[in-house]
Amino acid sequence: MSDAVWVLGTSMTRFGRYPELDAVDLASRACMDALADGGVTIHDMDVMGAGTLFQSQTGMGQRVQKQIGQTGIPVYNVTNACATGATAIRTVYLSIKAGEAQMGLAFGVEQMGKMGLLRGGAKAEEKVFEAAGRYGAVTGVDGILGTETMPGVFAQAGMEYACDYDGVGFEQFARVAYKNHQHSTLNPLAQYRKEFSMEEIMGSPVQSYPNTLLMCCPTGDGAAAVVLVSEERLRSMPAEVQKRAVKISASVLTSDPWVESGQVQPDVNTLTRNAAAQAYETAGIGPEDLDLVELHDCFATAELIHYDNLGLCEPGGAGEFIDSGGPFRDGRTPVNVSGGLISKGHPIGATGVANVYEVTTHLRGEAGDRQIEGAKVGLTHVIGLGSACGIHILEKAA
Amino acid sequence: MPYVSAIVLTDDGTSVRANVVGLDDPMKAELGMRLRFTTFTCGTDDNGTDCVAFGYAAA
Repeated sequence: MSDAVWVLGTSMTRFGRYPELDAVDLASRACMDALADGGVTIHDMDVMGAGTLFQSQTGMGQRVQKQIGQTGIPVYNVTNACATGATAIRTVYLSIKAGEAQMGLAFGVEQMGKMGLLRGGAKAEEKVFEAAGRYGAVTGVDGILGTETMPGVFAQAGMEYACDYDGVGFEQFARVAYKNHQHSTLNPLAQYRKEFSMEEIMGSPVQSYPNTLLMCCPTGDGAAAVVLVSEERLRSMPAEVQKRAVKISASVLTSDPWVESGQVQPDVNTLTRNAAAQAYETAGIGPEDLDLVELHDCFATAELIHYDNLGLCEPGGAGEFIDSGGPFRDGRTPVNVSGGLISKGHPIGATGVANVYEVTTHLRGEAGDRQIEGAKVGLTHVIGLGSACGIHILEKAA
Repeated sequence: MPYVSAIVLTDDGTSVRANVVGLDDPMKAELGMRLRFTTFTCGTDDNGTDCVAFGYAAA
């Protein structure tokens, strides 16, 4: 028997706007459903990982326990920008690997209220200019000395790729959004389920060129949860439960190693490539073995460069890959059949758990209309600026 | 107001993040275009003190 860790149960709320539900409501719903899906209860959990970003100081894990069961287990409240959900899964995974837990519950949740697109923009209109802070600045510099906001950073990352390689431009980036909006029409849990033409996508208001409004993920609310179990405990469970369990063949987290230009533009490529290499090596597979991928398309430009970073296409070949239909659901390597962040939504803390829900559901053959037939191996990827990258490789029970 | 955010690679290999200024249309910015360092006033406080930022203009 190996010391593998398995996904026993999982669930997510539909992503969307829930003005009448708070984060605790959403997370509790996802947790209860994940526990039921695994045929277990909170009393079977030895550890909890609770991921949320904007309410990270409120003890979200404990607040949820007060709804679903305060059993005194360790709670790790975690945050890691957009990689928060994957980090919550990691804490439970590591506890089981360390032998300190046999089963654990990890969830991610976000209630984003009325936040619009997360963009900044400083205006130098202070009452009196006074040098302050780390850099002795007299005012905020975002928008004055370029931008560090997400739409800008990911637009710049995309433009850098377009500059370095042929066959990559506005149209290729737009095609990513076209694909994900199309995919989402088959996913009842997606925030948006509408298809758009290339003209509509390219003609929607520019946010940060080349990303237009329809090429940016929305803000929204939602939660997702997974129940993880050790192989040892799984083998004591009924056969029909074991058959639905999904193996975690790799669970990796990286941060961005220093590069000179990293001081001014976060390098979102190296840490993803590093995480992917570690994951493929640990799982003993290559990108060609993947039946589906749920990656971090916070913006259409991000998805395109991650085709290259995750080795789904030839180096420099991301434009050709999307143009030839590679990442569409009927292509060589379906990417974001859930609709991705762009159409399924991105309640920040939930995303890194929701993608595990999605891949698990396909590996179990339970994805309904959007099922990728015969899926056996999948990869999930999230990346948060700052930066952190989380990758999981999941495999169907033999 | 739309602005152009750029990563500028200086001739000595340093990366700098700044705005490209002085374009009548932001879409006229082109990857690889040659630029020249410049400064511009980015605000004035109640005492009349100007805040000065640096940027890059088409060379």
